[in-house]
Amino acid sequence: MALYDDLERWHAAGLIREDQVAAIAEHERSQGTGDRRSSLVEAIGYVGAALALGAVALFTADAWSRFTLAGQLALVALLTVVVGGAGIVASRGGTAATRRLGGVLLAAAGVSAGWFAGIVAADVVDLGQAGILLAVGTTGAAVTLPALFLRPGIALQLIGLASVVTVAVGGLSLPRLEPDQAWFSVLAWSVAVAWALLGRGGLIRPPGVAIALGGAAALIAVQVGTFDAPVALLSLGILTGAGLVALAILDGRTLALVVGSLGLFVMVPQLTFELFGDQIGAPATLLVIGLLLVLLAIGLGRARHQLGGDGATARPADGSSPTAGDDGADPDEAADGADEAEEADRPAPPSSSEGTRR
Amino acid sequence: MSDARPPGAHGTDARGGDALASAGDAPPPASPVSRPPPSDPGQRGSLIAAALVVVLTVGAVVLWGVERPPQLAPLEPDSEFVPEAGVAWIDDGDQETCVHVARPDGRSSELTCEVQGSLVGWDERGVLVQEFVADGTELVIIDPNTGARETEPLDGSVARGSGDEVVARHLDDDDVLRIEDRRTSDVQVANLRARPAYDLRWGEYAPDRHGVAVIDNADRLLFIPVQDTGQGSDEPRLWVEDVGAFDAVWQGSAPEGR
Repeated sequence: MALYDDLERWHAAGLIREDQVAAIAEHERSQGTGDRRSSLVEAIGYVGAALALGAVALFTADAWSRFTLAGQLALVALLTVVVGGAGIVASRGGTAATRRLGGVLLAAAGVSAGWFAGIVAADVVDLGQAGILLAVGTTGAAVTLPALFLRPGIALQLIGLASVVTVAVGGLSLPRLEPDQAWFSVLAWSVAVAWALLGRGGLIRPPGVAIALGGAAALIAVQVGTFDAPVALLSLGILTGAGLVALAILDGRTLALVVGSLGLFVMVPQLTFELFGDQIGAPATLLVIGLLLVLLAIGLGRARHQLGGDGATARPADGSSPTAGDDGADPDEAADGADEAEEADRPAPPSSSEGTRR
Repeated sequence: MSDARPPGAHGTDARGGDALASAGDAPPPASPVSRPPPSDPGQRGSLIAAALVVVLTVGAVVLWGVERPPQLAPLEPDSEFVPEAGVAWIDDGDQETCVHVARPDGRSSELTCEVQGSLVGWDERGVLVQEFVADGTELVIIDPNTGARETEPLDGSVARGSGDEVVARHLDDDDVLRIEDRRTSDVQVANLRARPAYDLRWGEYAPDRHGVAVIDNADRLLFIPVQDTGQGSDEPRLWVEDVGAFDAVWQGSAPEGR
């Protein structure tokens, strides 16, 4: 484990005593065990809540049409306020699990607020599709983006990104002559790429989630539009996937590597078929995929070398310290689900000695 | 360093436990590593890169993706180039399905939103909508002036009368949309300067062939005056906007077989 390598190094450098090494190691071991148990409990709780919410949604869907417009608005407004309030309280909770729940509740409040705006736009103001999308996206973003900066989390990132993409799509739906689907895809791609870039710079946290989520959203956006402009969009998707893989190797980010690789595996065969049709056929496609596997293996090998070997060399290539902005010392960040996997692969957060070495 | 506790921990916490043991649940202690200032080059660089990606993409979309329909003059009721009959259509809005009519003087109105069928004509009795009911089909006759509706049962179903249609095609010069008689490309109704995304959804000669009504994909009902030969005699005029329909019927067009 990288932490133990660091502890040994610091002890060898005379920065910490042997009893401190033992105390830290023991503390981390007990935390890990405790975290795994509490994570399981937390996961069970979320599954149960999802089932309960599903049941409520089914019941509500059946009764929804019997509510008046005022009743619908009141119900959704109440839901938004209750969930949002609970989210704010939970975000300030004493345990990491409570704070994570707060993030999820705030994300749910964003969804609910967008729902409220959608009802107003459609049934009160009687806007068209573009107006409804703009209302829903803007409201969702207004709730989730500030919450995201206060309480970084996966759920808030997911809803926040979806809200911003909705605003973009709604804006492009305004003109009388709706552009081709490909342009919607390109616009959504740009928003998702921007999200990933902001995550890499540490402006959206956790950065590992932001990069993976933005990358995945960019690839999906491109795939959706390939019907209209297959060669152009598939090429864009391949560049995106390659960029993700390169960034993953540079920064040591497993999630980004997985997302980028999946994107390449999905899009390279499609582009090959688009360009060459049946002329070169399945064998050539297999050859391309095989070469990709080789490259991936090389990339993974390099990434593992960087992550698991010399921690001093494993730092972001852009020279900044996103791990420092990553709140690496914050138990919230370390305990976040997906980012926990990232942190396990990444070198330990820098200590004062690391800062001195820089 | 003489204290194994992380900096910022102050002995036992309020619950009486050891601060180190409960460090996983307590808010994080102050970190000895100072956070980079907001002006960190990595953050600035990522912000600039993100902004560049979005701005360049929006620019490309605005330049090449967004097309405007041709700008057309509105119908002038006092001119010689006015329709001699009205047009009816069904607007399949998000909430309701409503029957609308456009009149020769340029006015339009919503007749009724209590329809669930398809337009099949507009004769001397009114606007005709065929609806499927539990017992079969019925013909709904809607008064174009009051919107009042009456029904009569149908034996089987009726089809809309086949009027003389027009079609549109982009010429090799992609900025020109030609509207012509479907039966022969020699009869040109109109040429419009329009980018490739612009097209027509429906177009038909009036029963007396003194004009052509079209619905374009910008949701506009246009009127094109034509000569006796069917050739266009003037520029298309804007009749009604936001029609929300994919076809329409001329006043004076009866269903097939009636």
